[in-house]
Amino acid sequence: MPGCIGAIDCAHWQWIKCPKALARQYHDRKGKRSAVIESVCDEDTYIWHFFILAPGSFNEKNVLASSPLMLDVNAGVWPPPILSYTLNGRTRRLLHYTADQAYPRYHIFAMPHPAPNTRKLLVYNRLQEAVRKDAERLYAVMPSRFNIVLHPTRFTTVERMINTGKTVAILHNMAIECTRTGFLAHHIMQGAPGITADRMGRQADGNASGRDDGRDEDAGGHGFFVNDWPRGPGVWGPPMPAGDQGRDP
Amino acid sequence: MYNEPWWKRSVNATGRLQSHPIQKLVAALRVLGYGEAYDRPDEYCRLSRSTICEATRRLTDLIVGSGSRLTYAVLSRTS
Repeated sequence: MPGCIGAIDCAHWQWIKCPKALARQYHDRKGKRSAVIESVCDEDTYIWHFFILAPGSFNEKNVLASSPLMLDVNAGVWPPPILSYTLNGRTRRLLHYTADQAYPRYHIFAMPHPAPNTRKLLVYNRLQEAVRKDAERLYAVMPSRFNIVLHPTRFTTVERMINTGKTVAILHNMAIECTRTGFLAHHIMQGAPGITADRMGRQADGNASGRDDGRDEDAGGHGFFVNDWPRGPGVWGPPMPAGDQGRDP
Repeated sequence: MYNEPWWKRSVNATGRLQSHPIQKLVAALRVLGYGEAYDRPDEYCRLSRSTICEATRRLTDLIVGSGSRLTYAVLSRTS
């Protein structure tokens, strides 16, 4: 999707050794004790934003309101206003995340249309689901890689739980960088226009470690995706005929 | 990890070598990766469960606290 900078989703991590003092707070809607993980990832399931602090009684809206991601968005710091994308001849500056319908209707979220009845909306929903499924896939890939997330945790303090969750996320990112040579996010980060190194360095401090030295082959300018855009009916839906683009069926 | 004295191999008062750092690290990673309890990988790594607990705690604190901030960065798919 043009202008999309990741897919956002939440998941619950069950906590069976939750202290009684925190039991009400961490009581989720299924009757268990759990903490909520909020994350933003891309199609490599590389985690770009990871927030594990919220008690299980929060839904996605509450988690979002307390997450540092939304603090930056509300402060106007994020997404960076120097980036733009062009779609149908119109240039927009606000990049967006793909989210599901549980999120509030902010303009930073591209949500599926609730009742798609035109071909334009159907194609949009299909495209949106194709991007959004990566956020769901993260919650299958990361627990299968680090099974400690899969099982209900037995920590007795919140700090241990947060540290373990962050560790798993960092190790997951390191594993993704190790498994692939042509790492997509590095290309995108290198090719992003106007992004200074320190902003990237916030993310790449501990887990990138300069591994992408010898393979910057095509990240010269911005727009890594321009020629490598995935095409075909399997991903983006059947190609529409040239005559009725965007019309109703 | 090299700067942390806990991860170095130590010698106790009777002169015996204590557990190797790789033992502790493997035990901590087995706890994280396989979701095992602390007293599960003790036969594999020949450590006690309290050592494995401490190794896991120290590993997580090291990774999270060592300036590696996992936050969002830009992901530009624009043209």
